[in-house]
Amino acid sequence: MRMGEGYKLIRNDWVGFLGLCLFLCFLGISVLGLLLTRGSEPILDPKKVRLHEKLKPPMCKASPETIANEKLPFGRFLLGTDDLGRDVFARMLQGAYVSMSVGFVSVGISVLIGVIIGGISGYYGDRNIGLITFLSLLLLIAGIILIISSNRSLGLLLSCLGVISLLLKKTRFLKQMDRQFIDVDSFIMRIVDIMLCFPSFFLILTVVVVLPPSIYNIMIVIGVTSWMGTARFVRAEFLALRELDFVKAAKLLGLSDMKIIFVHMLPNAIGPVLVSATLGVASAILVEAGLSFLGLGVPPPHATWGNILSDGKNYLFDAPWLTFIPGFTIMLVVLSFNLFGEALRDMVNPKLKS
Amino acid sequence: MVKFISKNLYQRAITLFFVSIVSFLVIYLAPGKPTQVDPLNPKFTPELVERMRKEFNLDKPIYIQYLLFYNDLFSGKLKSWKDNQSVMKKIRDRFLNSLPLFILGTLITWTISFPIGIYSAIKRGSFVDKTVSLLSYFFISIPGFFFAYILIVFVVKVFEVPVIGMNTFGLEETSLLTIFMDRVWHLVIPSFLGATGGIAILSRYVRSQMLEVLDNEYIRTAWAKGLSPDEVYYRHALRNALLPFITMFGMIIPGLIGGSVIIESIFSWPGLGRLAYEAIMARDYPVVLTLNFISACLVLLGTFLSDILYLFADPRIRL
Repeated sequence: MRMGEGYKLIRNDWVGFLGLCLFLCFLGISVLGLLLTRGSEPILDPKKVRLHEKLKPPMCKASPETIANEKLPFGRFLLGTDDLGRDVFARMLQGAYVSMSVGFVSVGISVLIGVIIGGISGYYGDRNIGLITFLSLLLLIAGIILIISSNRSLGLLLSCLGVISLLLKKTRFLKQMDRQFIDVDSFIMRIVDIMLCFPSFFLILTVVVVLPPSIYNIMIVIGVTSWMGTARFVRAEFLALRELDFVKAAKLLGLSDMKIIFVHMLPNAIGPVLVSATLGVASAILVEAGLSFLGLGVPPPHATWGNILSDGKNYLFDAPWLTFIPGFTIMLVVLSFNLFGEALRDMVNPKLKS
Repeated sequence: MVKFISKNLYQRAITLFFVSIVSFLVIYLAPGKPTQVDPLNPKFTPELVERMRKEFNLDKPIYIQYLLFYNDLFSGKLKSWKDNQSVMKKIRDRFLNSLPLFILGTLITWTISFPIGIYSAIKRGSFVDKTVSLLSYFFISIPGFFFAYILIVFVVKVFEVPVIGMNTFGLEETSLLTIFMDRVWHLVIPSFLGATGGIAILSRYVRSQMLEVLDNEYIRTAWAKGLSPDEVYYRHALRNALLPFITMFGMIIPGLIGGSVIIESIFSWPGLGRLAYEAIMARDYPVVLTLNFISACLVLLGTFLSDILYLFADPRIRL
């Protein structure tokens, strides 16, 4: 699809266009937030505690001594202050950057895993894994797990057995036994089934609690637990593409598998991946907000929209802006991602192209 | 038929076996030992930690622990690490609390989203359709806990009824009607809240499914035969549009545990989601693992049921 065509399509769909505009607007804000609040002496300090200015409503004038000591836009707290007198405007700006990066990085991880696993499953799907190969891989994995769980000797024994049988499987005796057991495609799809058995939020919660709290762990956990949808899409696309003439031609030309997969097939399968990635960012932001709300999200001193809201909920009746400002912001951002994602789905849908 | 079912069950049993291994590993290989929950507590002497490790089999190799755990689980002897109560009894009590919330939420979701979805598909592009789809986007995008607070503020200010918990303390002496109404208010708000997201997603799905079916040639034939709109929509279109929802019906079963963590902690509802949250926070691994295992069983049961239902509902699938 060329750029001009896509532009025309999105201009016709004003809701999707609005979503795109909002989406770009928030991207700009989050970059701005990073620039304004980073460093040890930021322009707007989200960590500065001013106990004499606590719970000020939005647009409230700061006291003269505060104005004398620091720069505030128009000398006011644009979005009020929280229970420690921290500037909510600065915290929201920092939160924009943190929430956006959690959304994008975790979706990046999940798309990467999904594309690789789905691609292998779709492209190499009909190859067989022999019984011996399968068993020795199992032995190897079990051995590594035992080594990690401080049972060194048995673990080493098992993994050595695994490696030896992997090396020896080409010998005549084992080769006879190494008959077809399961093909790559159904093997990977069984793994996807296993992953889908875990209720995702519950799994994320469990893993987040047992890992040390950090923003990177949150990103990784959300990414690692949400790649199954992408993998299924990519697999389905690859299964269809594999039979098409241009892929056969590329194979006949002797191109390497990597080149066929990444240069020729992936660009043709990227539409649904982009759609699910856009919707995935929305749900990742929601999951992060939910985790922060339960007190398990990105740890302080980082401000995220989720933990501004969860701090503010204790002052729901005295200082409602502390709940409503981050709440509506999260809603607006997620809404823009959803609207844009749906518009994108219509754009890449060949049935609707006329 | 029997062959299909037995093969299906066999595959699910293998999946369940691997699920049991993976969920066990996720918890036991993670850094941080359950004996270190409260390292600053002076009562936590090294001897006590050692005794705890012995008592809960934590000093054994990991595969023995795995076998012991599932042996205890299936024989019902599993004890919580926190209060030494039977895990199964704990889960059963909480399950009975969660059940009304789940049933009411599901009922609200399905009874509201179908008429909305069908209506907006029939009146495609109308004002109602556009309003409904915009509203459903709002409900998909709003964080559940934030919406909960809006709802709580609204209900408490307008109707002046308490909504937190399962019932109001100290109402036992009043009339039956008061107690009943109190119960209903406490139940309706959280289940309505749990339903909104479901309504938004399901009604969009019903709409798109219905639109897809309405595009088909047999619908054009039905119109050409001169059937009344009611007959075309409800006899010909709706029946075919309903098929995919059989799969959805199987998928709501696991929502019993996973879907309610946040809502139950906001409303202090002593249900399964809250039990899961408390157990995770206290590193009460037997409870966490059991809940994980049960919800995996529920997922497998749900997909199995929807496979079987599909078999009966879709005459094109014949074995």
